Amino acid sequence: MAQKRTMTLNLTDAEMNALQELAIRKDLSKTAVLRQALRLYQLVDERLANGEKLFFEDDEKKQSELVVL
Amino acid sequence: MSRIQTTIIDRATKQPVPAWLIDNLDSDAVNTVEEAWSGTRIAGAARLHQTGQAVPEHWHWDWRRKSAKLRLLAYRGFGIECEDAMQGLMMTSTAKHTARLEPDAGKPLVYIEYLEAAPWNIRPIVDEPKYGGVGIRLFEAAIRYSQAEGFHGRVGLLSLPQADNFYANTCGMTSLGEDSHAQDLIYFELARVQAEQFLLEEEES
Repeated sequence: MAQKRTMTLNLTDAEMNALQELAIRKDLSKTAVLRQALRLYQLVDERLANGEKLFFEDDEKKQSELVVL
Repeated sequence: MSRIQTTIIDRATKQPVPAWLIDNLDSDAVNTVEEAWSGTRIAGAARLHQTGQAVPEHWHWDWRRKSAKLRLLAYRGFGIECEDAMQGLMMTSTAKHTARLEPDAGKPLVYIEYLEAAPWNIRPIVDEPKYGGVGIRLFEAAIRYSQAEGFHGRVGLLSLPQADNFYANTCGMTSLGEDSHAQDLIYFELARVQAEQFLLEEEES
């Protein structure tokens, strides 16, 4: 597996609480949540940079919402 | 890239032979493999087509068109190397899909985007495949990667019809039916309990 490096992350209480809640909901460590978030952010940013668009769809309301990052 | 010793099966002797599981393959490495594979794959498919036999559904794959994704963190490349030749390739993603099986629905998993054994290991591309067990070693690597990421061994994929039996019966995955958004291919998933069972059986075999 790839070598890992350590960094200190300063978060507000609200940010730490959000991270904690995601970790519980996704059954992940806080580190794993942040790694997933970074992967997703990079993936979405790459596709947006290539001219694609990101939508959220709501099947019940038959609506789609354009997401801008 | 990292290398871990493993074994695959020499089909001529039916005996295990040493091989390397290579993790973190980059796009250059994958492109080199495609150049080594494509001639055999395409020639085999053409021969099968001319003789009226079923052509492997992935005969048109070209890893050079897939490998650019490997520079993104969400994607990862794995290979099985034996006798200085790549015997199988797998590309996974970890940010695009979540589990569908309860009780872990909505939680992350390792999604197998592509998995292919070298064409000289596939019947009927060749009459006498050289090595066996390549696909199962790559599938095992996906489970172990899932565990290392904290995903508890959860794995998902869309299967080409010719591979449905392999994923259902050899790998022990659960079929969740056809995916209408993906050419009606069947979506298979391995839950954490199934992952533990798979690894237990592999260790005992």
